[in-house]
Amino acid sequence: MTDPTDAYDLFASPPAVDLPTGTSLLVTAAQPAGREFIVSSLAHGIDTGGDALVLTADDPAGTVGDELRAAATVPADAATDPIRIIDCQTDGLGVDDDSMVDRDVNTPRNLTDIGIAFKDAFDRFDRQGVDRVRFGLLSLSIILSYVDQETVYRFCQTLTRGLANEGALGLFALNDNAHDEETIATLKRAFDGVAEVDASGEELSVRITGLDGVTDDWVTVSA
Amino acid sequence: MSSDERPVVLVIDDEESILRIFETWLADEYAVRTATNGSDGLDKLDETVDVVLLDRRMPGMSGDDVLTAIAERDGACQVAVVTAVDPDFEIAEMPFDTYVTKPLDRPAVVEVVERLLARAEYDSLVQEHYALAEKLATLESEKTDAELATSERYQEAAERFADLDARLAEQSTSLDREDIVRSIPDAAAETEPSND
Repeated sequence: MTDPTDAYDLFASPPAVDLPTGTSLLVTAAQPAGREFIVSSLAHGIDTGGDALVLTADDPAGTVGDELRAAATVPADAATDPIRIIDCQTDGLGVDDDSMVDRDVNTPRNLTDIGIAFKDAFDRFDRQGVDRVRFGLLSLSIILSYVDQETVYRFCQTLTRGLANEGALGLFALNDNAHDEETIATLKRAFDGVAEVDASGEELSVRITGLDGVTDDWVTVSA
Repeated sequence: MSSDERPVVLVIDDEESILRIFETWLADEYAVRTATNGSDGLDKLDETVDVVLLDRRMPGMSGDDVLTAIAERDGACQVAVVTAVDPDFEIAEMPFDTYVTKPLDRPAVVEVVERLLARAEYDSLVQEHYALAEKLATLESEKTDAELATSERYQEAAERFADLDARLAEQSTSLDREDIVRSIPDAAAETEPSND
């Protein structure tokens, strides 16, 4: 089994929530709490020497990249290198410097191109000797508006298996206001567990379910 | 149903001698069918075929025409193109799953067939995984927790799901990145969501 010292500490603030390498979670939240949560976790990954790979279908790569750099505590220059973004939203990239952008996929329908970009990103991590990668997907809700549920499920299942093989951490955002309970209950089975994010208090809190050895209590996430 | 449980490999090549070589190499492990041209190959392609090995250059119906015809069918078979040169294009964007380069050698051919079978197995496990996930979600929405706890149908489906999940995890460890890309469903090809 996974060496606990390799675990991914989910976010910066205590208490530590350690997830085994290769874990993928469905992050259910009202917008925009899910992305905030994922961005803060990816930023924590950058701060602790790892890389971040983002698939964005919601906002342009530039916006996501700026948010990530702002959320990381390392200087913006140092934070740029570890960020890779697969942009599949339909507008422009919104970046002057496209060094972060791995591939511009023209539509979230194009899952094959997304898969190729995913593979290329990990090929590149290998070449660079990067073995700590947090992957964020923003968001499944947008992809579900383009692609039917079964296809999205198979897409998620295959990405989560890929992330497990890579020993990465995967966080997939789903806007829980936008789908019925049955859709969420179906989709969550493509993942190792679920992270429910609650933004009703002053700070975000999260509850992880479905993972052995990980607390299922509500935990506060401080910025 | 065939009484022969071995995976079925269909080889399409206009050269008889090549077909004989494939038969010699593969017949121990697989049920091998052969065809010397594209239209004969398509006639022999039914839902029992797991893997197609296809020569790209043939007189008459070309390998690419055969590929298009296979892609238009619903079948779940995996296709390897046999080619004299490394294709200089992105494999994942073509309607076949992998390729074998000539000159052929037995270990390479067997490895390709095995990889394609592993992918096919993975794909069918994922489809079953989804069907069960959907069924469980439906039952969960219809029944209370107390009812679920005593529902044999639900308990049985939950057990099958857990078993399937373990098999899928096991099967997926043999997939490399190229396999992962190939296993991502092609939404662009499905213009109509097929939810019943």
